[in-house]
Amino acid sequence: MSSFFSWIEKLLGPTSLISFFTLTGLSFFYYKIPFFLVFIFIISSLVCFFIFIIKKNLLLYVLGRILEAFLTLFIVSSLTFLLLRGLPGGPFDQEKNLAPEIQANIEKKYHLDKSLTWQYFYYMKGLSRGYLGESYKYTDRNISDILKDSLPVSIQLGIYALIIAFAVGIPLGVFAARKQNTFFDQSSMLLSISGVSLPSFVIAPIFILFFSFYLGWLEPALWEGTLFYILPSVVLGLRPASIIARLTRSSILDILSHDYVRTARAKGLNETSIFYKHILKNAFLPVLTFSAPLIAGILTGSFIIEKIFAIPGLGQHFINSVTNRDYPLILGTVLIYSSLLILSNLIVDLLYTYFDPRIKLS
Amino acid sequence: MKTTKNFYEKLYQNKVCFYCGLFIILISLCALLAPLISPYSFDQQFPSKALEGSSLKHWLGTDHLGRDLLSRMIYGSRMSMAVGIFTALISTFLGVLYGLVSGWLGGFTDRILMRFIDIMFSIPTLVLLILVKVLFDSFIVIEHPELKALAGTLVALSLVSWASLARVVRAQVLQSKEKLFVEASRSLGASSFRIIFIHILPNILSPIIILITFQIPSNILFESMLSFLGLGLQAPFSSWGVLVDEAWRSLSTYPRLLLAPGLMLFLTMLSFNLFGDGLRDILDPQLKNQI
Repeated sequence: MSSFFSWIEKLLGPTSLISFFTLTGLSFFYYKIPFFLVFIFIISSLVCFFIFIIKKNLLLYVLGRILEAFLTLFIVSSLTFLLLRGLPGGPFDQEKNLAPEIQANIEKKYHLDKSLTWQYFYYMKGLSRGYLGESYKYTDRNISDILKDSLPVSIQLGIYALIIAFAVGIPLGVFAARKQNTFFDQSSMLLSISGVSLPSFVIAPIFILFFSFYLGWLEPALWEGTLFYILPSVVLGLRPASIIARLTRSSILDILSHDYVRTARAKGLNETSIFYKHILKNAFLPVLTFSAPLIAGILTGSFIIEKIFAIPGLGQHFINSVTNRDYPLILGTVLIYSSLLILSNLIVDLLYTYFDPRIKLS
Repeated sequence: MKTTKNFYEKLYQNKVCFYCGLFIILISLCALLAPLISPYSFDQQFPSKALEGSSLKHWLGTDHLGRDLLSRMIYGSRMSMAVGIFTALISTFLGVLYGLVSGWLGGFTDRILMRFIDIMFSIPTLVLLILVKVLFDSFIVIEHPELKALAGTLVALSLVSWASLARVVRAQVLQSKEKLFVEASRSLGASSFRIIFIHILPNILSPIIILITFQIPSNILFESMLSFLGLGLQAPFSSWGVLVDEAWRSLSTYPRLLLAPGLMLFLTMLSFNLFGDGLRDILDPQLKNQI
């Protein structure tokens, strides 16, 4: 039975990874995404996930975490709701020349004339059925519709940035640590420390000016094809990539001084296998610890990127909804961001047990 | 333990770290002495000289309202430095204490404390920041608008940014709890307090210092992000973020308006990062043996 599981795992693990990267590639080159590939990706990664959980005896843990996630989402939505309603100034204050009757009618439509308890009750009732309410500002548009339009764009941007961050950051850190104190090490660390120190809203206009106005290679704004994707993703991924490179290098150097590395050397293992078998896996832990805040950083970093590149994503809607006091839209965006973060936290914690079996989740 | 003199000697020997420290002190002095050293006030307008290039009277030229860019940048450094340093101090204190307690006690307490952090973490930082800041702005009455923006950003950032540190500290404590030196000192009869502060804390100092290193520049970044999004300080008051926000759309015609404050932001964050890096090399015994 166990050999059957491991056989499936060996087959489905790569399948899930390959389909994920194929999907990303297809979307990057602006091809139509075939449905069956999405299906294969979802099925294979879910099965892998379940096999991993059952093998590690984490089924109850994961169920508990999912239950907790719903509790957290409930608390987050309640807190945000109460915080927002605690603010002075309603959503319809800005509209001047509004007759009192019309004002009353509008407030009645959105239940704003009721007491706070009733408003909360109505909102939670809708939420339990998956109904996020109607936007105050964009008349006759459901929050779900707005999210359905803008969320894929933001997720696409985030995934590209994340891939750039890991694909550039980890190799850079590893090579810098291997060639410690050489010219390559120093120059790549200078590069990455500059990347950490460069705010995206300073580098983004400069990149636009250079790559799309002087050179004319890439598009300066909007989100409509490969040439449009590159600049925003690179700018968004720049800072995380630099942080990952620094973190990878410093944690590898940290681990070099541990006893088991000396033992491995004393056994006569060659440097390469010590490095890739004994050090790298352990050095990845601090990077993993960092990747949950990293994902949060990419989500919030997109506020700036979407403003500069005029990308019709979720961040734009969030900033606008805050300034407009569009309560249902704020709540909807906060809930979406929260769900994404909770999911990524869970995945990071599970990966933690994969990389360090000493840590017991229960 | 190393002596203080030894520490300063090493600081002086590490040239990059030393000069970055000097640069930080210089910027801090600029921020402190802004009214004395800046040639004009931050909102003084010379309408006839709007968008002029650099001259003897205006070293960095003027912006679209004819305000002196150099003066605005000197005044802008106040906001960034104050927010960066004070927020890092407050949030580091909160975060380390929280993480140590949570990681060490474990069990039910840990679960409750971490659940609270999870709830904080499950709202994006910038969103929480904006919410707390808007709340602060509507409930706290401070007459001076610049002071109010400073206090609001400071409080909101402190309340938001300690959680990441607490989480990392906790994870490190969990890792070192399993290690032999903790078991050894416990079997020798050391108290929890002693194990935490004498044995575990120095062992996990390296990630804490790295994180403080990231904390100050990231606070500066957050402050300028807020200003850039129009939710922090507002013109005519000056902060580097405000200056970038005013300038980025006209980059191709007036690049200096963006490059000057952008360069200052970059250099300040860079020198904080490099300074922290050097500090880590000096303070961390494990890494020092390697290098």
